[in-house]
Amino acid sequence: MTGFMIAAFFVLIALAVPIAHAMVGGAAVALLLEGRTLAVLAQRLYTPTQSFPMLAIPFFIMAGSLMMSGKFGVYLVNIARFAVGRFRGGLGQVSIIGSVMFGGVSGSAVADASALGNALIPVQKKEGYSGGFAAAINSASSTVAVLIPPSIPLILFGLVANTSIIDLFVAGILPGLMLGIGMCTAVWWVARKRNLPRSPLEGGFQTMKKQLLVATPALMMPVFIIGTLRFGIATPTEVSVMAVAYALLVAGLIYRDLTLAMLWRTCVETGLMTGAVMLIIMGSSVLQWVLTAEQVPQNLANWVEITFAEPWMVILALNVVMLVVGAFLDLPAAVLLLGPIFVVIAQTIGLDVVQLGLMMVVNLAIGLYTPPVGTTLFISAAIARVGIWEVTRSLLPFYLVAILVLALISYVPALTIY
Amino acid sequence: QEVTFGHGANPGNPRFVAAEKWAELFKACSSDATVNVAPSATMGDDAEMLTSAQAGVIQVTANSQGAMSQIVPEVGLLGLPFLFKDLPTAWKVLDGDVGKMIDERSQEAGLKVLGFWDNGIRQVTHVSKNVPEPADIKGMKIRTPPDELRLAIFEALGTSPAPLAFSELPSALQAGVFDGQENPLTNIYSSKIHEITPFITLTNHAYEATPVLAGLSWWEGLDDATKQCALDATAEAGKMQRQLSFEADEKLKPMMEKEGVTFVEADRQAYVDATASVYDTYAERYPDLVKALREAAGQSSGSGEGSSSGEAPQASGDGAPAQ
Amino acid sequence: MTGQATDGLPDQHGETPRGVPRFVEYVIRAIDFVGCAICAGTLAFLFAAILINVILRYLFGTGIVWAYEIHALLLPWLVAGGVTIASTRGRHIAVTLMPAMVSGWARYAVYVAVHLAVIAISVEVVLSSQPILRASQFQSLASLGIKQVWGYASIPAAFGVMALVSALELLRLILGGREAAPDPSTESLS
Ligand code: NA
Ligand code: NA
Repeated sequence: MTGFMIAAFFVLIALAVPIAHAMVGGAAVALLLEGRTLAVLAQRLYTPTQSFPMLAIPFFIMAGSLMMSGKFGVYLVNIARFAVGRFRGGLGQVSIIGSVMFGGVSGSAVADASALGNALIPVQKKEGYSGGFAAAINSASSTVAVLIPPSIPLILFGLVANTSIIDLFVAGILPGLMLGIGMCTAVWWVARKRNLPRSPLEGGFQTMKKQLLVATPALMMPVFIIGTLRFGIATPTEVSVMAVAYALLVAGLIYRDLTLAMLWRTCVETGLMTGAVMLIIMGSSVLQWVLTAEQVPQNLANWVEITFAEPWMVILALNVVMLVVGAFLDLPAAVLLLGPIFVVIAQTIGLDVVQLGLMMVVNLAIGLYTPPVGTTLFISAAIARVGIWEVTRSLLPFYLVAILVLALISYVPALTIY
Repeated sequence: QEVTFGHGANPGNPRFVAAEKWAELFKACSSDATVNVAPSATMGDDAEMLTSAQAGVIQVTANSQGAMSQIVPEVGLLGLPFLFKDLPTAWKVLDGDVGKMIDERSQEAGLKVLGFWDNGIRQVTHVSKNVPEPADIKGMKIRTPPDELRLAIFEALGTSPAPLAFSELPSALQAGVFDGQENPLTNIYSSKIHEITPFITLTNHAYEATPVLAGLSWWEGLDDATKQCALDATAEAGKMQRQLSFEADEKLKPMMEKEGVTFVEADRQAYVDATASVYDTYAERYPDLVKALREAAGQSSGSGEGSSSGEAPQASGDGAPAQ
Repeated sequence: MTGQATDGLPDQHGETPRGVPRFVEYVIRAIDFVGCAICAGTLAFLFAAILINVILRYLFGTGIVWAYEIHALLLPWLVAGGVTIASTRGRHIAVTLMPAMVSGWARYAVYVAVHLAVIAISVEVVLSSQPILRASQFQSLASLGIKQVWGYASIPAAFGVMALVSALELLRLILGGREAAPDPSTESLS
């Protein structure tokens, strides 16, 4: 029955039916064929909405949205420019440093791609970057946001794997920085070959100094989040709410750009993103019920255990599966779909759950900028007004960096487990 | 016919073993049935499984007292503070008239009670100290399930109880949001809470049953022989489950001590006195049931008397469940 | 995750036409506004409840009992509101490879098929939720005493609205003919 379900799911997906509906449709086919009651559809759709930790998702989206809709975005770009603008391809590196800093207020790569892309891609093109390269930098670097805490994919993994969100958040920092440094190197290397300019901040330290002071409260957000979690002030859900309160305070007292209209827009945008993401989470909960009822994860884990002799081969196989799935599916959807199955497999080879989580998010984040379906790729290409394939060609050095980091995360546990 | 039996326990848990036993027994006396046991909350958590059973998605579930009391509030009263002096008393009460009364109320909500298994008796854990006397527990920030009665107990003891989802509990304890929590030893051990809160006071403050429930619409479609078969299977598997559950508690203590846990017996009588007011509150709301429960549990409940004086003769000072 | 931020109301269908299509447009806008209001209301309430609870715990060592329970009711409705806006603005997460590859009548046919599939699946969910709705009338939240059915109702509500919006879009496609099929590159994807 699982076969029919998966077939129906992919037919519907290919047709461009929303992924959540495709999941429900596929599950309905399987239930009907097995003569089970369809009442399970509504029930499993409802389940994820009952989870208290799930509440962290809308509030982390909201905190990021509040921060970025204010003046903070401009300051952030200027600070990044002061830090790395003087190097060759400086403006490209600003995208990456910006993403690392932005990652601290946002839990989603998509928010990052559209916010920083709109601010930087037009300027980069003016300074002689090809549209394809500018879009490539933006689509790859924005994925750093899902590794620097907070991170929605890591929250989702924590929920499906029943593991500590705090541990995952802390473990995400190092891979995030590794990706950032690697991508900066890639930009520098391409910039040297293509003779791209340096772009130091006009006014230098004086300009930066003033803005650094105002931007500091926003830049302190990741410190605030990790601090409150680590030192026991509150649980992840409560911290997400406190992050919103913090963003409101910063916007109201320091940037003084808090308006009712902006609050309304933030609520609407947060609601929309929450609805779209949660619907997929709910759809995969239905799919999961059918898969579990048919014992698919267990059977698959057994098969993997028999087929691959060595743990390193299993890890390689998991990564290949994720790269393929990630090429087609969105990051949260893929985490939810594969997470429960992979956790079972990881247990059979003694792979730590936190390491698995980081491996999954680093891997599936690559899918955000691989064709045929990649969210940050599409957004960046649209902003740069270039074709997908042109961007993909320019992405090659970034793929190399990402695969290298992925290999390190997969085979060096010390990078994620302290 | 295919019967799906859902529960939330993992392999190794007495409930898990008993569910397998139930399947075996039911198949033996109901020839054409296949039983699909779905463990580890794969069919949803306890509250969901109840809805599922009511709606016919699954047929039987070994559930929890807390989730069930959201449908049949009376079940929650089994958790009145220090109600049963030991486990056998609790079992006798559940298998008697009180159990029948709960079954009648459940059927009004579309559920048939097949029987009651055990979920152990609850103990208090703390990050930094034991709390043998009610004075020791005052001011403690303690997590409880979202259960009104449990909150009332810990408010009466002068603590600051706050409800939190069980899924957030380990991270909340680690983060220091709470000083401790309360659960049966099996739950504490399986979710490794004793590693964060290694001071366990054996308070035995509240009993919890594992009600085994069937969807009423499915139940009513069965012939009498199959109904009897299901009831017998539940009772038979239950006998084993209660024994296993009791032994598990006993076995866990030395194991947890080896892992660094400090156990201390609570001063039961002092705790009984400190929580007497809870009975008064609930006796106002459910006068008949509270009276019936106390009588069945072997407490006298003469008017004007608090639970403390009533229970004095039974309280042995040793809070551990007697065999 | 979802596509880039767009402010305001859906505009991917070009200027507002007259007659029935215009009526369809107004209905969609009304639905959109209700969705926005539900999102803002639930977010504001949840935010206040949890924040106040944290403050109470820290400053006074107490807490609101229901602050950890109210999400069971409000999060599903926040999702229902968000799902509504995602539908009215065409922002559901989907793989829009197919409509991007084809054009003309083929693209038109793909969109008709998508809306038909969404309607079929959504109606299926609404119908199959009836036994659960009945069952959840007996279940109530521990500290609030509110019946779970008020939360469960968000599922048929959300899927009912999604079916309705897809039916309206289908109506717009039928009335507007081939030109009414949106350009997948302006449709925000995944
Ligand atoms: Na982030
Ligand atoms: Na991709």
